[in-house]
Amino acid sequence: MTSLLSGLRPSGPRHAINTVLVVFGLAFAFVYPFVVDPAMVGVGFIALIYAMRNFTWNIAGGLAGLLSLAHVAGFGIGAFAVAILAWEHGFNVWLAILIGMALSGILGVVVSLIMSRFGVNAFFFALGTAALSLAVSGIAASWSVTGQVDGLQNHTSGEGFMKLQWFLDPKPLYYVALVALILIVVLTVWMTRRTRFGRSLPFIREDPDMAASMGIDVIRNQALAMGMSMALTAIPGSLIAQYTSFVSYESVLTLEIGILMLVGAIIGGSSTLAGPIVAGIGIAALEEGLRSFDVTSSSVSSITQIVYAAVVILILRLGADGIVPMWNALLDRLFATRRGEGERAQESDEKETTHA
Amino acid sequence: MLEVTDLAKSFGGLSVLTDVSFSAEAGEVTALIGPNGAGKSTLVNLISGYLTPDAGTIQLDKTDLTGKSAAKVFEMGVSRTFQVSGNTAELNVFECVSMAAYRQSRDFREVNRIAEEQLRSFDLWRYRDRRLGDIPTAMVRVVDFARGMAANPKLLLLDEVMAGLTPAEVDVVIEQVRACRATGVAIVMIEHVLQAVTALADHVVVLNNGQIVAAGSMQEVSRSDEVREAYLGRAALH
Repeated sequence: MTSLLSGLRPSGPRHAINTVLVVFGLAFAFVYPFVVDPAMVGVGFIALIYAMRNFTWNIAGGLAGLLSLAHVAGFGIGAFAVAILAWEHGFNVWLAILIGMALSGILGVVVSLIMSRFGVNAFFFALGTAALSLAVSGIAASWSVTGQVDGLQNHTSGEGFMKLQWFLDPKPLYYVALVALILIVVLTVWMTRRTRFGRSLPFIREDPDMAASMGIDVIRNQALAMGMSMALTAIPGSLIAQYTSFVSYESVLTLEIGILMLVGAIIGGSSTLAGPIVAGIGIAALEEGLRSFDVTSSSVSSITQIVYAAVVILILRLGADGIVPMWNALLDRLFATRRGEGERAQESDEKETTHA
Repeated sequence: MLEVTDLAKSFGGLSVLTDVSFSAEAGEVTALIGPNGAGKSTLVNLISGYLTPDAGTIQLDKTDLTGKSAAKVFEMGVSRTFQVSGNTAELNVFECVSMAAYRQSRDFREVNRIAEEQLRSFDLWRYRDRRLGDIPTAMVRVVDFARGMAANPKLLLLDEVMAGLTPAEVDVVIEQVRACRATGVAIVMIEHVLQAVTALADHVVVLNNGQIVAAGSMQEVSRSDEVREAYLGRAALH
C-alpha cells in the first residue's frame, strides 16, 4: 500500500523539501509553548483555530468546490453547543462538542440537499448559504437560550481534561487544538486518497455531469462533503468558546468569520491540503505582529484586511492558485534551473564558481 | 444488447428526435452519423441518462434504462466518453481510470489494480501522475477509453472521440477502439471523421432531422439517396 501511494504521489526535490518542512513544522508546533513567552501560547492557539477552520471549510469549498458561507453557522453552533449544554446545563463538554458537530453536520447536509434540489450555481450557493448564516445569527441574537445580544458566560468551575478547561495555563488547550487539527488532517488525507467518496470529490468539483456518468452520486456526495465539512468546523467553534469562556452572536456568528474562512483557504491555495493551514497561521502571525507595533486592535483588523487584499492582488498578478501552489511552482522552477546549471557546470567549472 | 425503440425527444416546441429505433450488438461497432443538428448527441445523452425521453424505451440486455439517472445507467453497464474535456484539465489520469473501476469493485486495492491494468494495456502508464490538461489531446481520448473499459461496461458510448486529431492520431485511436471491440463490449460511436467510420463501423445508422434515414453497412448507407441528400444537398442527386 505504501509503495502504491508513493507511486501515486509526485516525488522529487519539491516533495522532499515539503516533507522536511512538514516534519519541522510539526516538531516546532509541539515544542512551541515551551520556547515562547506564555502570552504567546494564546496566539499559537488562535493560529491553530484559524488553520483548523480554514482547513475544515476547504473540505467542502476546495475539495468539492462548494462555495459555502454556511460554515460560520457551523462554527457558531459548535461554540453555542458547549455554552448552552456544558456551561448552562452541566453536560459533559466532550458530549456537547459531539452534539454540536452532529447538529452542524446535519445542517450542512440539509442545506446542500436543498441547494441541489434547486440546481443552483456557485454564486447562488454562496448567497443562499450566506442567508442561512445570517438567519442563524439572527436567531442567536434574539433567543433567550443563546443569551440574546448579551451572549453566554462560562461560570463553571472544574478544571482538567474532562472539563476541557484550564484557567491559568493555555498550554493544555493549545495541545488539544493541535491534536484535533492533526486528526482532522489525517482523516481528510485518508478520505481523499483511500475512499471512493473522497476520490470522487475532484470529479464533482471539475465536472458534475461527467462525475455522474462515472457512477458518482453527485448530490449525495456533495451533501456528505458539506455535512462532514460543517461538522468538523464546529470543533474550532467549541474550542474557541472554551478558550474565551464567552460566546455571543457577535463573537462567533458574524458573516465576516465565514468570509475569513473562505478567503483564508483560497489565498493559501484551496487545491492543496497545506494551503488553508499555512494561510491560517500566517494571518494569526500577521495580526500578532501588527499588535506588537502598538497598532490598536480595531486597526489590526483593517490592516490585516489591507494585507489580505495585497496578497490577493499578488496572487492574481502572478496567476497562481494561492500561496502554497506559488511556493510549489517556485521550488519546481528553482530545481529545474539547478539541474540545468548542474549539467552546464560539468562543461565549465568557471561558471559554477561564479554562481557559488 | 442495446435496444432503442421509438425514442422521441423535444426541447420546448422543437422536436429533436422522432421515432428513433435501432439496436447495437455486443462485439460490434455501431456508428451514428449524420449532419450537425441531426440529433446524435441528444440520442447519446438519452441513452446515458443525461436526458429523459418524451416517449419510447431504451433497453440493455432486456433491462429497462429509460429515464434512469446517469449514475444509475453507469452502474447498469453503460460507459461514455465526453465531447468537451475543457474543464477537466485538473483531473489526474490515474484517478480518472480508477474512479470508473469502482463499478467492478468497492475495494481500494482491487480498484487501483484494475486501473493499473487498463492504463498499461492502453500504454498510458507513464502518464499516470499527470493532469489531463498536461498530456496530448489524442492521449486524453485514450484515457477516456481506459476509463470506459475500467468499468467493464456492456455498452461503450464514444462521442466524437476522433474530433481534432491528426490522421496519424486517428489511426492510433482506431486501434484502441478495435481493442475494446475485441473484448466483446457493444460500442456506439458518434463520428464525423470518415476515416474512422470506414475503418471501424460494423453497422451504420444515419440520422437526419431527428429521424433515422438509413441503416446498414457502410457500403449500403453510402448508396442511399437520402444519405447523399442529407450530407450533400438535393442538388447532388441530379
